[in-house]
Amino acid sequence: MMWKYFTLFAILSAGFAVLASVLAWLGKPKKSVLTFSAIGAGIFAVFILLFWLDVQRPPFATLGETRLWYVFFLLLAGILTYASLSYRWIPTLTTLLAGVFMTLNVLFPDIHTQNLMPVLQSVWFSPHVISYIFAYALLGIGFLFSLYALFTRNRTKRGELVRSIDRLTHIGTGFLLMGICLGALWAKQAWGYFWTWDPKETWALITLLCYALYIGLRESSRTDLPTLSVKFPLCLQLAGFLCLQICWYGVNYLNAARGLSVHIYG
Amino acid sequence: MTSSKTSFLKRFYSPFGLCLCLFVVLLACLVQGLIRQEEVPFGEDFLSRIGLRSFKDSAFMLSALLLLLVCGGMFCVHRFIHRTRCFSNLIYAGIWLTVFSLLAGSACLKRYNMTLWKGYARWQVESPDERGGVKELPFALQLMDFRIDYHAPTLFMVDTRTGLPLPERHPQTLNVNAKQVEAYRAGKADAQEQTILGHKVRVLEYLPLAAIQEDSLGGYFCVPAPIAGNSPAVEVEITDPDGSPHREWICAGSKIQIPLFVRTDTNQALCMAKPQVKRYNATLQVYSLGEGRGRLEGQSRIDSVGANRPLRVGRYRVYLKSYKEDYGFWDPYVSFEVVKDPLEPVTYTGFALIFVGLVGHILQNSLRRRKSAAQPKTEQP
Repeated sequence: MMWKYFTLFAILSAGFAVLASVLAWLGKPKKSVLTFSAIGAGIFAVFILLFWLDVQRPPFATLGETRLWYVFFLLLAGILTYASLSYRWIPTLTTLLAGVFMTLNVLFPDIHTQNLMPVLQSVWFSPHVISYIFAYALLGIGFLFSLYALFTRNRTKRGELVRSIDRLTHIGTGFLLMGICLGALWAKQAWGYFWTWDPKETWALITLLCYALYIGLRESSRTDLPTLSVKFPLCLQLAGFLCLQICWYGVNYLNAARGLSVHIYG
Repeated sequence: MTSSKTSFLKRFYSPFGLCLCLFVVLLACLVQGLIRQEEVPFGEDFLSRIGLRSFKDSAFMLSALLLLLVCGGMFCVHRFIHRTRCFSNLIYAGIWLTVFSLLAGSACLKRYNMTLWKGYARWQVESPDERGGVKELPFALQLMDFRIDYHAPTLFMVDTRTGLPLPERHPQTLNVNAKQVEAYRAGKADAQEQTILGHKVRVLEYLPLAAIQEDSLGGYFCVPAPIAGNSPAVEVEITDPDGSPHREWICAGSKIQIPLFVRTDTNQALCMAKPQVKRYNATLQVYSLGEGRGRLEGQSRIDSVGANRPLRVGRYRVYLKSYKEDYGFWDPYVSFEVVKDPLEPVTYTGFALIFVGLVGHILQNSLRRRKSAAQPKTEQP
């Protein structure tokens, strides 16, 4: 029942996020930008909480519900990165990306029931999904930064951005790895396997490997490969983000996975 | 060792060497992710003939993972020697241990199928592959009880020509609230009510397991019948857009029961979705066998198996594998899977190292950052 108010909450939350972006472009004080961004994220958090109470189960069961968390973590990560870096384009890009996922939820709503299938009634369910979605949000911000860094001509700015991308990728990949490990522990408890090369698992590993390669190449450029251009690892960020999208919902549409995965959202 | 040999070896444990290994594994995973991995009759498909449809068992995949293990192992040892106070070493060591145990574990993991039915004890299990045959376990299992609980059903309008829920992109559903129906029956609350495509629907009664009966006028009604395989049913009062109310029974149907639905229009019907399983549970009597196989002379205990709750018996784990929820008494068999994974503790150790490493790494980094922020900045000349 709570879902019918989603559009209202989404408009309110997006409104505050847009206001924060405009203030950032106008060069208004950082405090006011952060306050409006925080109000936008807070409104979205309130909706998630009310929706959780309404469905009486953790809201991670459908694709639309994971999009809710993605939007919230994206707004949150946007606030944190803007607070530390102060680039005025950060709120705009995070709001745009969050807006895309909010719109998807408005245009293609799921059927929300209180029912949760037996295998999802596990202590591993919430931590597994939260760590994945948090990683997706951080790596999403990393992707936006990489896009900006690839096209900017200012070398100093690019250097600063790459350092931030490194930090975001380290934490994001850490959470992705944690999500995979928690999923493996859960799978062992549910089916007796840690790993089965299910298409979704394969794409999660591909995503992890892309980001691990990024970290490895950045490390190499500091130690044994100083001539390596920074543009190559940045392109890997873009590839990693594409793989992440395939892992999250792309496997639903991938011919190689159709009908084979037990992890696909219904 | 000469310096040229050292520099050659260094390539394997350097970050760049590890990157090359990761790239090879990434390629192998991409093949698996982009090409449908399923058995196709030999000779019918080109990709299957060259082994790309069962790539996880291919020599390339195995070699890539072995290469990763060798280079990753050397990288870990090198880091443990040269960067002693670094939590990220634990992450690398954990990943290595996990990959190693999963690879080695897939070779020594044993999985067996066991089919049980109420009242009978069995200790023989069948291997899933054709060559495996039958094995005798050091314990016997007897199925005492098997129970499935369902979520309250959902009603929705379907297009009778296509079978799709309506409206097409935003289907309207009514999730039956069992508590509210109970309160309504006791006269403590109003009936659950919702409008679906202009038809006001009030839920008057909900029977979790019902049998359908025919009245003297040729109509159908439902009565409570708690027998496995029976479908849930609800009695609803439907008020059409023209204002005329009528009472009907709706039932999802099962393999032993016909469904009941209400036609609201020439091309529309109010139906019940197949009920979703809430929980299932098998109660088992476990007998540990003595020296003489087939004689239940050891100790026994009663335990249960359900979703996410495997049963541990010695070094074996018993999982509830499959059940036929709507066949009822036509299929009383319940399938279990008995798994023996000798390397399970090693994999858990790997995961523990990864978790400790991740938490330690984050804390260590934030501490380092705070320290460097606290240090006064020296001015550049």
